[in-house]
Amino acid sequence: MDLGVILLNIKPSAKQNEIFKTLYDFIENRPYDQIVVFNSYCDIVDNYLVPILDVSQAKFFHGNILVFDTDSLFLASKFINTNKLFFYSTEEPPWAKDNKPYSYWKNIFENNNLYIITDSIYLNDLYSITWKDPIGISESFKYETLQHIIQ
Amino acid sequence: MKIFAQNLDTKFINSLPYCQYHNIVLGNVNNNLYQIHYKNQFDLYIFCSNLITREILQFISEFSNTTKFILYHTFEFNETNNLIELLKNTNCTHYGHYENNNLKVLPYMIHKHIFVENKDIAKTRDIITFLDYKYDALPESLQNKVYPKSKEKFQFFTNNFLHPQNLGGTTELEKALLLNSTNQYLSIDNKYYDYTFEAFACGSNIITWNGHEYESVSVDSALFNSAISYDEFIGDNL
Repeated sequence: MDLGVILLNIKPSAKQNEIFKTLYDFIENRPYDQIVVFNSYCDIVDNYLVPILDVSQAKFFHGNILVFDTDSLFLASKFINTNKLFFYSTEEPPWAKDNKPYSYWKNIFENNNLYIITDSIYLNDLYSITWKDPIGISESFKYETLQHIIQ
Repeated sequence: MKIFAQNLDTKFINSLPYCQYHNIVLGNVNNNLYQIHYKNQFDLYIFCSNLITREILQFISEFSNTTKFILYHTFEFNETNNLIELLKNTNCTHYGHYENNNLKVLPYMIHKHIFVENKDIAKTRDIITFLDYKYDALPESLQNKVYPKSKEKFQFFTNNFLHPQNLGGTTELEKALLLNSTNQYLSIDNKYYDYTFEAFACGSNIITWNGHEYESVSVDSALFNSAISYDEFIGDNL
């Protein structure tokens, strides 16, 4: 299972560190899979040596794509080479923070290719009520729990 | 015939551009009304009571002999009588949602070419409603129907307030798709002035919430058949 992860802005934070640690675990445990980060701004020293490519290359990636925010989700929903698009949601649903028309959210979330993962029961329930049932809950971005969800 | 309607988020105004036989332009006036008129020479102007300005009153008085006017009195507007009195010597026709002296009741209207049942669309939604921009917050009566108090798949649209179950503003075409894809449409108030007729036309069940349980609403078929199109309404007022 090849996995491309879109992280548009990488800045020093515990969350980013956790993501890179987990991606490193994916690489270690799945040596025959291609794991790569697509990025447009990077301000960290990547001690885990996860391959990073410019985000413009993401549309050519054959495999699954994982995103963490709505901007990346909007971008990735247009890719034609993506097998499965995973959205790991950890924040308040975007439509509850931004008064955009229904068509905007529909284009993003009514995508048969989209698989939502949340970090809480609260988000899991909200996505289930409004768009589609998430495929799993992972309270933290850890390889041990995600390996069964991201397949 | 060219028609100008003042832009306001209500069902009546938002439905006008979807007329099949009349060219209706929605726009804001913003102290620009005379310029709009001299550039475009509209035959009919539709203004909204809660957006009325001195400029509009002056304009109606001035062009009353050559142009037609409709003043739409919205639900929340409570100075209807004052406006009617101010414009009593003009040819302005007043429409509202209730009977009053010199205020005509807006007829029940539906875009029958848009709201059509499509059995090819799967009914994937449980309950939806359109709040039609009438509320600043979720109505008290619905507080128990939303998460975390309820896990029902209840979604609402066309509001200005932010809420995790509010999925944003929709066009009339999107509303037709939504009504075709839902099992039930929740009618909140003013049942024939909301989307009850449209839901009926799209084959959804119509329900209301009385605070304790859902009640099924049966649509009066005679009333539904008597609903006119927006085109007919405009034609009658030209």
